[in-house]
Amino acid sequence: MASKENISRMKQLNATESLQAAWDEWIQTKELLKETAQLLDDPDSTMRSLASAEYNTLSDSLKQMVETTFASLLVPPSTTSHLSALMELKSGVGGSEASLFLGDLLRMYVRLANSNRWHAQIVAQNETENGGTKDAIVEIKGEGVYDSLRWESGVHRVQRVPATESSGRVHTSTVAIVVLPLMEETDANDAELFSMEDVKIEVMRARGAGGQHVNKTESAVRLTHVPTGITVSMQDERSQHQNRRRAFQVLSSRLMDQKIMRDIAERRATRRNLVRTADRSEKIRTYNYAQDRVTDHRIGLTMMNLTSVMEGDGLQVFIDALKKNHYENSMEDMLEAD
Amino acid sequence: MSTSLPARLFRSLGSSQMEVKWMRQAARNHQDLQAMLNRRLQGEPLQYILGTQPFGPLNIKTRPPVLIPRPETEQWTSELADQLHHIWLDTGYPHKRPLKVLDLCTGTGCIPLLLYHLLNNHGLRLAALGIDISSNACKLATENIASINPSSVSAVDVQQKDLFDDDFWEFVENSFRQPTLRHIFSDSDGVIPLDVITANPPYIPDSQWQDLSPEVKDWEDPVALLGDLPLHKKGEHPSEGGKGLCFYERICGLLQSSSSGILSPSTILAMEVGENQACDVVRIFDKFGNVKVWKDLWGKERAIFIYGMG
Repeated sequence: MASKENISRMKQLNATESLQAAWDEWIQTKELLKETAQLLDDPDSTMRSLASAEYNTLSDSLKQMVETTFASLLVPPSTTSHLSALMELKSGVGGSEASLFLGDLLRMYVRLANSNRWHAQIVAQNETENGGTKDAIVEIKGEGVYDSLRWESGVHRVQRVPATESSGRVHTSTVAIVVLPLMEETDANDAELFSMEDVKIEVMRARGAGGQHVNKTESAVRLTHVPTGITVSMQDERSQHQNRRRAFQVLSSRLMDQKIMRDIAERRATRRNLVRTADRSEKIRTYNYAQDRVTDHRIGLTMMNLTSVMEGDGLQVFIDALKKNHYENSMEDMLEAD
Repeated sequence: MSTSLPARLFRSLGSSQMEVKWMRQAARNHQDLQAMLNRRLQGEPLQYILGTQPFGPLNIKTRPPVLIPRPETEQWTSELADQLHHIWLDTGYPHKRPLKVLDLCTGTGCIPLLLYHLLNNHGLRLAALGIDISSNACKLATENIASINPSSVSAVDVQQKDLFDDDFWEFVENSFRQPTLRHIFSDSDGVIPLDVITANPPYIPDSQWQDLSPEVKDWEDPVALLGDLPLHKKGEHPSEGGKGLCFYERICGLLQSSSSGILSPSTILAMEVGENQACDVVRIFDKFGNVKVWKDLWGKERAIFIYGMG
């Protein structure tokens, strides 16, 4: 019978299998190299040139194994690769212009989701009178979505002439984005992120006598996770049950996000590295309409043709670059470890 | 844009942007949306316009004048299902036979449907019967039963009957013997008592009718709301007049006069009550077993649970 220990041992065994295979190949190739080296001094010139070609090929193989295969095997695999994402957007500095930009970003991410064949659904949205969005929560489901979108967390800054601005002056506004891991109910239960006793559930509106006496359509709910002080409000669904479910989903996501951040910080602390975790209030990207460019400040990547980012494939370029950057940082971290 | 329909809605009805959003999501086109907004402006309940009310994980169809499911009802019914699941789990599901559930004044059928759905998910088999006096309600409940279990074999049924009829129990037993419900049971199950009785009976006193919001008063069926009945229906307790408690008295009377085998020592009764009625209802049922008062999320005493009726 598969006990919990046996399963975890099997997992470890599987993980080391590929490492073992790579090591075996390394030893084999080194042996071949040694043998080929001996033939470099062979009296026969054909033999010498064959050996020389073989020697170069084998050297390149060894180099490849060190630089790529070994390195990738030694970096721990992502623990979050199967997770989908919950993206929270909040308009920051800039009033109504910020909320209009938030709407633009929302459309941008939904488009990105569609082109990647992910499933995007806006689960909460607070609209403003001028057609903007004050804040919103989007659920984006698919394989590897969290790993792709987690680097969108941070402050996005837009520089442009607002639609309402008559003098043509450029304004700067911001939108803060936080990308959380989406926790399905079973995942949330497994992760044991919270206990129901620690959650206070409040309903938002007075219902007078309630029951048969009243037919009000809103069923807003507010959860407070007492130990952490996290509060989640949800009113976008049409029933208590649905709002509550969504609210718990958001709560699980926020708690899981905290756990992931804690794990990262702990790992960094044990390696005595400079803490390179993203401060969520950091400006990560600027969208400059006047100059038709988008710049990501973390990796210093600038793309011209802003429209390609907001409405085309340009965003994917940033996402891929950020993923690569994270991977390389992980490798560096790993190599620098004692 | 200040005279736009959405803006007028906000001002006249205090409706939130959420209602407009939901209507926008449901509308097929712009004209459809305008029509919906206009209806809402006339005070028509949103649920009648949209045709549904989410209830637990279910989507219950709604239609005037049938009572629209309330969030309090959703809450205590879910709580009841949870309790039943634990009770029956803890006692090792001793019956080993399907359970028998009766819902009085069923309206849309939301209570038996939700119980059926939630308990089925926990692997419990049951037959649920909803009773209502109104043909409108029965028609709608039948549609809800069909739409929630279109393909799988279910055992939820609704029958039209006046709770105050003398042959009420006979009618109930007969209904459980009809094909729709009977197929759940096998001959070896024998004579089966009711395991659960639920009710959200009309409980609003006549005196409170005028103060109800127009949305309720002008659109939902008074028969589903008013708990004071004309004298000839009051039976043995005319002194309880004016408090909206007639249905609770009738239910109590029915249970007391039920012949043996209809109830059992483990039968559970769950009833919704109106504001400030819990005390009186507990008193009406004080001859029965273990009585618990359940509070809803707004802090009101909203349901009475009685464990052990027989």
